[in-house]
Amino acid sequence: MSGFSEWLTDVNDVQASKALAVGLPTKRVESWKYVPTRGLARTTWQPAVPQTTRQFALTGGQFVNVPTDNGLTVSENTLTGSEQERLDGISQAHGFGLTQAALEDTHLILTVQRAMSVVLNLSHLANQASSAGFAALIIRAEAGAQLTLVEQFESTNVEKANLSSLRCLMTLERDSLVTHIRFQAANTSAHLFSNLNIECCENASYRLQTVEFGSKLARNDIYIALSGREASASVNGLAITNGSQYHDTHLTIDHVVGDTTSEMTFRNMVDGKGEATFNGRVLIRKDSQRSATEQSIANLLLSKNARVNPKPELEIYADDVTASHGCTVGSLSKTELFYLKSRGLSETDARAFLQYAFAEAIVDEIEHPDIRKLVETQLLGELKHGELIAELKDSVDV
Amino acid sequence: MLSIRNLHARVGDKPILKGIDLEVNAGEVHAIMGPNGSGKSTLSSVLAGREDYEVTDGEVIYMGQNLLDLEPEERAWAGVFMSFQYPVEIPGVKNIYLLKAAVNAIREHRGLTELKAAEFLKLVREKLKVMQMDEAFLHRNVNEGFSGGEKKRNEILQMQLLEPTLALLDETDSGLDVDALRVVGEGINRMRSPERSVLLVTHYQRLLDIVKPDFVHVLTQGEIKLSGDYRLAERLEREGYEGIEAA
Amino acid sequence: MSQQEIDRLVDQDYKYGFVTDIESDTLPPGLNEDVIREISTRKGEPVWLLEWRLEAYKKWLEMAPPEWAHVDYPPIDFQSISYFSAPKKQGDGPKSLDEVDPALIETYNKLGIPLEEQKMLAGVAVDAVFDSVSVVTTFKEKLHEAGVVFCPLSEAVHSHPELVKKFLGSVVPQNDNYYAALNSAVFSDGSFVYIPKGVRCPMELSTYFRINQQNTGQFERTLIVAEEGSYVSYLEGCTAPQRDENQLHAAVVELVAETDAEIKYSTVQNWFAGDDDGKGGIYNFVTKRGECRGDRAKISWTQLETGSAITWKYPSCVLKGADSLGEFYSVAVTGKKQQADTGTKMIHIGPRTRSTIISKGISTARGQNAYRGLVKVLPGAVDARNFTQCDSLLIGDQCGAHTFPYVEAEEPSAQLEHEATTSKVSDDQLFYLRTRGMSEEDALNMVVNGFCKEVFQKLPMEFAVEAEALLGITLEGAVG
Ligand SMILES: Nc1ncnc2c1ncn2[C@@H]1O[C@H](COP(=O)(O)OP(=O)(O)OP(=O)(O)O)[C@@H](O)[C@H]1O
Ligand SMILES: [Mg+2]
Repeated sequence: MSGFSEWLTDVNDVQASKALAVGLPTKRVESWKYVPTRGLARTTWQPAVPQTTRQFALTGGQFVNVPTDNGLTVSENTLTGSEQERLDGISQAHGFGLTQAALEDTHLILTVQRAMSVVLNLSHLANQASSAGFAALIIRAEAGAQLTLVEQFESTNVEKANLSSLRCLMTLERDSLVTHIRFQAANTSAHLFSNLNIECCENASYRLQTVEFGSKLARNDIYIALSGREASASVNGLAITNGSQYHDTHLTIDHVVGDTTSEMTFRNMVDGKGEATFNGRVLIRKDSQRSATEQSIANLLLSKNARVNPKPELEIYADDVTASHGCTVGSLSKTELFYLKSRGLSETDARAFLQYAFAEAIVDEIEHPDIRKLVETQLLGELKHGELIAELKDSVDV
Repeated sequence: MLSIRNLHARVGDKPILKGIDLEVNAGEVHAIMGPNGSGKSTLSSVLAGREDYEVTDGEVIYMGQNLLDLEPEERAWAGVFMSFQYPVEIPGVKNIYLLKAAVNAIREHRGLTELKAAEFLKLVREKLKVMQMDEAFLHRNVNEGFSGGEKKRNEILQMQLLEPTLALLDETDSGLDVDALRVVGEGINRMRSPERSVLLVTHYQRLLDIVKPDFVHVLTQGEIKLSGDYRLAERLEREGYEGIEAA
Repeated sequence: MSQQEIDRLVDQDYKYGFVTDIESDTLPPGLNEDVIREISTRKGEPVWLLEWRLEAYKKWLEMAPPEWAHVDYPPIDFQSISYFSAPKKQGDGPKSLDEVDPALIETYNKLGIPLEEQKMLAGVAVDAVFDSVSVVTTFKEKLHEAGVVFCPLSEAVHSHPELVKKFLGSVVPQNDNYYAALNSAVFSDGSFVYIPKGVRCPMELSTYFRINQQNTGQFERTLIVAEEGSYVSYLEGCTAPQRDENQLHAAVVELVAETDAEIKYSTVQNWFAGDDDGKGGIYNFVTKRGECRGDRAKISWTQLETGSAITWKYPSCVLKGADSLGEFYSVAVTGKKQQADTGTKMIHIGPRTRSTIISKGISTARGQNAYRGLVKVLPGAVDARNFTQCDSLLIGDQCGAHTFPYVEAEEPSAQLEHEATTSKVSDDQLFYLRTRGMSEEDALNMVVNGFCKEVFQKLPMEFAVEAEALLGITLEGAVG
């Protein structure tokens, strides 16, 4: 029985009864193999009440203070047929998808107008115990539009489990560019579910930079379709998993047509009893000739009880392609540690240096200077013994 | 300053050092020469405290303490510095972070006050000039993508900043062009003082022409087979190791 | 290379596709407890083995076929398969070659496996399994002198019951997976190898499997035990006649390597692959696993997979002993409408265990080739190491190449590295070779051979040549 049963019973529509019937995915569902669903099932989830805030935020399943920037349209109209189909696709994947669909009540549709340039800052707020919010966001970037979407997750002063789910569809029309930055430092009672379904038309480009330290459990399902020629996608991700946290990212890049390129770089750093899963899949379809993809996954295990499940997948049906991936699992390099120590750094400082360096490779890619700074600062707070580096950065960085 | 007695070390099951005896007094420069694979880097690594090497016998006394009991960083604090034959690349760590962290860690253990950013930068710039290095090197990652010669200069730059009492320089001259060789050689000479000793591993006479050693030792198959003064290096240059061994 | 050229070259007949006309004793299709009893009775098995089979059958009934492999096939009707077929013969089975049906000997000659000892490849002992039973084992005497047991499993049940009882199912338990459970219930025959302590097996051992009868499944079971400090190199080869229906091959192979023992297991699999449209061919659903039980034990799997309509196979190593070593070297070629889902599992349990995985997939025509592997490092496998490399070569634009490497790491001192590439045959390389006067076919052959070299080098010498030739034929069939 899932922890959503009561709620679903209250909702009592077709979607809800379907979700009730199917229940939460078990370990037998391949893509949920490692997800610890016990906590989800044990809590009796209630609808969260939106908080008051002045920012553009997602709280209690509602979007508040929706911006009215120049170049941005907020529409009430319904989803297009293909958007609905994509959303249904997510719903039907497994029991949790059905639950998301049944419990979502908001669809916010934002359109970035043709050739306009917009920056959006979205905060995720949660502060009630045992409460959950479900929402969907639809973003349409018109031809030539440029969007920078910055998502930040905060959940303060909550001792008990809270849950937030956002399903986000983005359609990038011709020549558009979306830079999507996610920074997740929610407190360790948060359960975060995020679905990203991205479609890139001709010559559109989607760039995702995601850094995750927080939450008890975070599950990200990302699907990027490169469906127009010359479309491209790049993903840079970092998850720092500690205590008894669980972080899970399932990412698929689908080269639907030829002449498309993609790149994914993901790093996991796991300490304590943390567990991290990264499943990166690249699909190059038949006739998607001249596609290129590169995948790199690095995993750092820092403690005896840490656990990591990386899986880089290539699924290729066209022959004129270049595809490669690399994946490593290991602890800090002994040679590097020795070098630093031979220069007088203590064991702890040397370790902190190398952990910082491991994370920095991703953080450095964040294409938004303020957010990058913010992430760097918090990263150093997150690392054991990050103070020395923090001080060095302050003193000698130009 | 440094007494090495009957030092034996191995990697895995392979014995490499088979009884090294060496006495280095304050202010002396000792050159260690010897064929490839004879154990020169092993010797400097053991002295610097690299874990891969297991000391199976013998002892090393450095300034009255048992050096082998110390962790690598404790050796650094005590004034031991090794210039690596193959300097390690550390992606993601800026050179300047390492330099400043190292300088202050060592100062702290010598009872000196921490250098403030401005003082530190002034000092670094001065040393960069000596080493004829561009300031851009400070903001690149440690040794990452440096050319062979640049790495070696970076090692000597570190040495200048850390002001060790005992410098172990493992083939610091390899891969250097003629001008760089002079820069590095003079960099070493500047460090020479009555309190400071240098162990210089090299294959070539040309560095020894600049940094005149007090003693030259020939290490063959894990043992010091021959010791002499500066003229031994000249003889080696003429006759090679085979010639010397035959004699 | 143009698609037409590829198509032109795709037509190549399966040269092992003949049927041997021989009288057989075949059970009618269908599976139930009585069939299992009948198999056991015909083989004159002891009661414990019958019970073991029945237990496995009960477990199988409760299991469902696996769905996750990257292969696609209609559900198999397990009641339409016959679970036992043996060439009719007098008495209790052949004591020597003279007693073997001449038609059978002819079959093996056609396959290029002469059973007469004098014609044998120097220093290779052969066991030949025809449909469900082992028909002949050569070089028995010489092996006996060395203390090596090499005989059909059905014979070992009688001659070495304590060994069989001790090791059967100890690596692959009855309920390990759907097809392993089925095999445990109905297995017919296979090879049994026992190398006593300190013995280096004086020659290569080899088994040839052949499915002949229509509607017959083959369920052989091989068990190899290498005691402390021993060594054995074992090779299996597989062929089947060309038939329109699919035939099921669900084998189980168990390897046990004790302290300091080494087992080298090589496979050249060339079951009938079906025709160009995917009609017919063998479903090859095999469970192969080795356990390094003692310290410094070593198990190495080398395979060349060119046949079968569908291959589903993951030769694995369970690395229990400290410093034990697992290796997997594989070349899998899929052409026509073949589907292969193959790879390995390396389970690191003991400290300082090491594993190497080199997988080369070649896809041509409409073939689909998937590597699926798991590297699992359990807590306590201190300083475990794995290196994995999966390369895929695509020849033609109708085929597919897929890589699904699972990693589960729970030991911080472990160091794992995985690399994979997928590409087509480089036009530059082909062009270069052709400017040096090579035909297109030869150039391709050379490039592909180079691609596979690392794996072929691991095959016993006698078979490396065979493997290269087989690859050549398969490529001729598929591309050129
Ligand atoms: N980690 C190691 N594993 C195995 N062998 C090693 C290792 N380190 C050193 N050796 C071996 O030990 C011997 C001595 O090596 P060492 O690096 O000390 O030689 P060297 O005198 O510095 O040579 P060169 O002049 O080429 O720098 C060599 O044979 C080398 O291969
Ligand atoms: Mg050396």
